[in-house]
Amino acid sequence: MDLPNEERLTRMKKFKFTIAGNRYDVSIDRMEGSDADVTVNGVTYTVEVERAKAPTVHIERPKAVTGAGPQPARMKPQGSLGSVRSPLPGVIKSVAVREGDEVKDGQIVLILEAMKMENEVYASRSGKVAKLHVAAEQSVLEGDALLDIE
Amino acid sequence: MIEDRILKLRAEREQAQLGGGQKRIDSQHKKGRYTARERIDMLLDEGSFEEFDIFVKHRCADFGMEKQRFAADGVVCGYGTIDSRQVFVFSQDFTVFGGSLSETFAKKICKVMDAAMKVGAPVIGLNDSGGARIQEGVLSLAGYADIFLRNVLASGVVPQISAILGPCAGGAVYSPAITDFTIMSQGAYMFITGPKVVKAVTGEDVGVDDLGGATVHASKSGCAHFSADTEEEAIDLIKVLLSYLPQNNLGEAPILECSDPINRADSELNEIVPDDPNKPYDMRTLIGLVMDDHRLLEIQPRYAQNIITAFARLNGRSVGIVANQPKYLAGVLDINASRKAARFVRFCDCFNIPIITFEDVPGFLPGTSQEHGGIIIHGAKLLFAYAEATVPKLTVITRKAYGGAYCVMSSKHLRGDINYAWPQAEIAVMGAKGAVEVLNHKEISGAENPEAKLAELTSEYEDNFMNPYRAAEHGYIDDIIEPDKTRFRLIRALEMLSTKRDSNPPKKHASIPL
Repeated sequence: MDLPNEERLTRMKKFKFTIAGNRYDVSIDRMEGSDADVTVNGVTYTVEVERAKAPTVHIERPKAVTGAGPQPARMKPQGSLGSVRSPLPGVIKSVAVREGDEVKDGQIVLILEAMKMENEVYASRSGKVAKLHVAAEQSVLEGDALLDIE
Repeated sequence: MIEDRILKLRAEREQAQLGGGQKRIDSQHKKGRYTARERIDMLLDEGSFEEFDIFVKHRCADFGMEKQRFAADGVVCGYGTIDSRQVFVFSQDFTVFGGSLSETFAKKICKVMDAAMKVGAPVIGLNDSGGARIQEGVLSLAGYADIFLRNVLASGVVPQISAILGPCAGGAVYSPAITDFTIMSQGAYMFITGPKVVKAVTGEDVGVDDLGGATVHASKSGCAHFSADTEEEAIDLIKVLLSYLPQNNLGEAPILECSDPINRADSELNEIVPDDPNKPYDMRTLIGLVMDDHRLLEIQPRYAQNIITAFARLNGRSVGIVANQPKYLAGVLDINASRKAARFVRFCDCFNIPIITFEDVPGFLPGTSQEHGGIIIHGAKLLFAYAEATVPKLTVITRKAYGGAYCVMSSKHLRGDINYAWPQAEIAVMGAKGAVEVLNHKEISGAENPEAKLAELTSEYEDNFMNPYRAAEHGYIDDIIEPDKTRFRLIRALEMLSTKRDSNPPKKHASIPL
């Protein structure tokens, strides 16, 4: 149905009200912006219309995370490039080498108890054990340097 | 007259074979690399190659390009056979404009892929390209995107294999990334942005090899499934890989004659799992003992080594294997292991390859780095992949099956067809000590000697619950089997399931937690 604009307006905007027993026939004849011509029981008024505000959308946001609170564990950058690092968080069960020992690439250097398993930890390269950072019974985090190989 | 024309054709063809010319071929050889055509010769059965579009030339008239036009335009395309099975291949020719991708270059690759889709045969891409042909501007980019689209549409329809045998940089990397398997030779590299851009943006000093070499992608990033020392090895790997795969998603992988007795019972299997449940062993050896001729092709052998993914055969049938590796990180499921196995499971499901799971998993890896890295989502991928898969699914629990990891690893509840356990299996919600501390908290703290009480209750719990019988009582385990009978039992189950039909509800596609 394609009606001219005005006709559509008048058709759509006819109201009948009964307020405190009095009947009012109201039609909205013209509306431009917030100005409107309104005819009430045959008398035409020009009025200003207050429109309801568009509903505001409320977006739930989590509170901004500040510096406080737990921070993700980071690899501790201790030790040199030749460090053997802990592959898992766990407890050192035993250490198979001492400082000054010569080790071969792939040799077992210590046993790390983690995830219900005695994990073998291997030398990452051949060389001399320059420093041992851990001892038996010590807890370590993933990425902690265990020993340095020169 | 026809003789002259034939002679002219032969001369043209001979000229085209030279690609960018003898000088550039020599320079390619000097770098220790083969040419595009030599690689195809190594890959395909002798004399089987049929070439498309050798006379295609580029259409660019900017930047003086109209004066330099080479037949085939930098990529050799066609079809042939490997072990007498049809395959399609494109091989990028570094001697022509550094293998750079032009509009016509891309059109040729698209033609090959369209043809492969029509007949349902694997596509193999041999990549050796400096990137976009800058002179062609947006036409080159359009060419890349046309290829990517075909990679995506072909995914799960025909197997797609990429070998990276030289440079592969920038947008070009997304084609191998989408294909099913990527093989890199030493000296090849693959990255989104090269060392110069990295240096300018982040200040990091890094060479091409440390940034995106074969070793890095095969071990650190997981972007490559295999790294090969030489090009020959890379090409051999393609052939071996194909032997486990069907031609397309409607076919079955070839079934080979099996000379290995199906009831071969290696007594080593009874010994392989140490009595002490805290001692590791090599799961790779265990798998080898079960499979035909002790043979398996490991996929991503150096990435996320706490899970093994591999192809092997049982009674000549191709199977995909997923197995926890107690020897590495105690065999935990972590982010990388979950992603690696999930993709493999989905590949097998696409191509009708039964999945065999060997399970010895202490659980998911705890810790902030895993939780903050999204282990929830990544672990869910593996669960999703297993649950969604409709190919035959067989599982053997060799030792530990704890907590959520029990559910995830192809459990009965995720439509596992046959689930077996070895007698030493520990199927439980958590470790004995932890469970007892929760369940008997009051009893322990109220005891005269709490430590003794804890030990007593732990041992009681171990006796009662750390075994496969509870799960078997409920039918979650179909049978508890003797380790050395594993091969025979799996083969029987696999034969029984060879006619399996199962499906998922109709849908556009699932929304896997990516």
